[in-house]
Amino acid sequence: MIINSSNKIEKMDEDLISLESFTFLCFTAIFFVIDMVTPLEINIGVLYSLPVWASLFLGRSHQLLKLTAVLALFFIILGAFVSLGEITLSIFLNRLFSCALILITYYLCQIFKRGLIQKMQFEDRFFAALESTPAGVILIDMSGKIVVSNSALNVLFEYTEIELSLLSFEALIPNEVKQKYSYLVSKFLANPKGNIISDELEIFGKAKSGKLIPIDVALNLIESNGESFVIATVTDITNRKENFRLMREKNKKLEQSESEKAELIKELKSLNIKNKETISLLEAIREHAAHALISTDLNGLITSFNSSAEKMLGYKASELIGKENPGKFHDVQEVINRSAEFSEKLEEEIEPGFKTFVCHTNLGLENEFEWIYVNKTGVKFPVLLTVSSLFDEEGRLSGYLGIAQDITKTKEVARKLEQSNEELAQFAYRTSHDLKAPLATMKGLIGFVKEDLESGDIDEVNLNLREIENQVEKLTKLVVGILNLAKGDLQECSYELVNTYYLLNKLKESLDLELKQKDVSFTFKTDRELFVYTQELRIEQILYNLVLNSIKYSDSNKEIKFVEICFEISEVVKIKVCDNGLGIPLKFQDKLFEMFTRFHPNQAEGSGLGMSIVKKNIEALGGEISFLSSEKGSEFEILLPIKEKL
Amino acid sequence: MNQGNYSVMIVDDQKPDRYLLKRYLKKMNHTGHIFEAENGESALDLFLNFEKSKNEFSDDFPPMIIFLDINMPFLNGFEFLDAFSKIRESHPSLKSSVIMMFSSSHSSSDKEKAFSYSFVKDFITKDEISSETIKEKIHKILEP
Repeated sequence: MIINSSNKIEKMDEDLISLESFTFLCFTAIFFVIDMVTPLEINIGVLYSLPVWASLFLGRSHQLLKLTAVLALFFIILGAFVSLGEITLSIFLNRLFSCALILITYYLCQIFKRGLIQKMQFEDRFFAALESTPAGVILIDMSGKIVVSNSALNVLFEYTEIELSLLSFEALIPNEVKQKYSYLVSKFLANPKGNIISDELEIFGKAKSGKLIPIDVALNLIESNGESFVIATVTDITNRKENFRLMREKNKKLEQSESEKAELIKELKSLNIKNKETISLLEAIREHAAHALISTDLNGLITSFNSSAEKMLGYKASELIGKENPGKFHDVQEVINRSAEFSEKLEEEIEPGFKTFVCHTNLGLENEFEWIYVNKTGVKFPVLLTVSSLFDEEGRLSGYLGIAQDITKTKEVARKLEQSNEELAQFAYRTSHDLKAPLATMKGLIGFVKEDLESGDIDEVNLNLREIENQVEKLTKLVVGILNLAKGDLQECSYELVNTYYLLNKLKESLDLELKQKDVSFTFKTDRELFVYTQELRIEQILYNLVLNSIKYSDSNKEIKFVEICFEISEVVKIKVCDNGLGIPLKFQDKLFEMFTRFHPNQAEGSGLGMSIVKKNIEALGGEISFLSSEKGSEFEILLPIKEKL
Repeated sequence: MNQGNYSVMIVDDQKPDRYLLKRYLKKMNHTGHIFEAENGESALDLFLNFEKSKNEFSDDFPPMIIFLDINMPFLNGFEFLDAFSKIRESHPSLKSSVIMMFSSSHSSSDKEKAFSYSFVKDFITKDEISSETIKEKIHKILEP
């Protein structure tokens, strides 16, 4: 391969001048000898022009051309002078013509030479540039023969220049991929524009040792003197490939982490959305919950206090958050009692305080208990409190949430229910007892009546028969009383306008016998035209039982015995029943309305249901009853709401 | 102990029931003294005024068997049992008195409640009473 810079070219030229000049001098001298031995008339100029032409192609510089031309001219002229004889016109013209020919040749050659030198210089520079390229460059003709290659390529493929010049480019291609190459080359030739063919394909070159070299090949088609060549720039990409591989790996990792990151972000976003939804939902729940929601940190410091809690306890959230412990609104004594109770139950010392509220939660046990809350003004009320754990994002215990429900009403309802259940149980018990008892007595009495009849003890028979009669009467009263009570409980009577005067007269008539027996006077005060819009049967039941009690428990020690009813209508219907009877013993007054209660068992027979019947009917009318009683007598006051009759 | 010569007490608000029980006792040749009380309160008075009763009735007091009704006004059978168990603590001679419930109640909770007192020895329901049953039960108590 030519490894010349332009400076080198000139230096070599200088070296060559002497040798070439000498050669040309020799040739010219030979021509001069030929010139001398041939007749001078023969145009020898043509002969002399030959070295000039030769110097054009052989010589590298103008000097040689000039030298050759000057020598030729010198010999032509010399030939004329050294020729024997005189210089004939034909000889002179011959010499002149020869000189002209040499000069013309010289000028022509000079012109050619300039172009040639330029071309050669260009080629030299081109090859120099080629050499200095770090990439391997190879020029291949269309038959596949390697024309030129630079040393970078030689080094890469481990060949010498001469070895390469004897090879076809196929020698540089691994056998396995020859087909692929020829496809690529044909594809390139079909559209021969600067083309890198190995960008994404894996292309390998085969070195002399058979080693595969990953390469990058750029192909270019060049035309020279009607001939086409392919110039291929071959770059060793071993390092690049390694780098690329590493980069790919990195990228892959990066991509992976990117995709993971994207996934994470997506997840976070959705979580965030969910979170936001949850938060807003929670906030809505917290603010609008009917229950008090109170959260605390691990030490019990209040961290949130919703509006229901504010309403329930009378404290503002701002008064408590970050300042107080829920103990603030608990009943102190209860907390102390509970902590003792819990300590025993959980077999763990629990100090009275916040720990008392959360100890069950901390042990993973259900924590729902009734507590007494004390509101800001000191009023106590029962709540059902559920305490659960709160966790942060990492799942660590971060605090507690207490949900408290005011159960005052629930408790009241439960109490009433319990009471009515108790009443019912009592009723069932007493009913079965009181119905059975006289039957058992009668059975016993009848047994003795039979015996007495047999033994002829007629007095005893009569006595017991009277007793049986009493028992029957007693039983009858009881049955009637139970039926009336059931009526008061179950029967829905209709409201109607009731004339009080007529009502009280009717009552007096129905009690006439009892009044006479006990010598009790019955008076009433009402307007003849006073009407009450009420349920007549219930009013009747109420007044009948009250007046009957007054008659039964009249005080025989008093000279005048009376019972009086007053009817008044103002904002409510007010009915007063007064008597001067025995009165209700003080210690039994709170049991007055209980069923089967009798305080003067010796005074009169009774079912013990009278006052229960009174109370049931008053309740059914939406009214209330109160009384004052002493040994001087009793006074009942009944208040009934006015039902307007349009 | 002399056959039939032991004092008893009948605490019942129902006069005919007291009458019936007295006749059953008479039928089984009971000759001892019979205390009668028409409710728990008046029965209790007899024991509360222990010394006075002792003086008045000498050996007849305290009664050996107390027939006790449950449903009575003022102080019912259970309230009486409660009060009686307290009096019993301070009067050792009362320890020989035993109680036989005498009620028309068939309620098992009533029976349970009554038998929770160690001195309640039996329970007669009024509708199953006959001279035979009462004889049997009294014998069981007196001659175990």
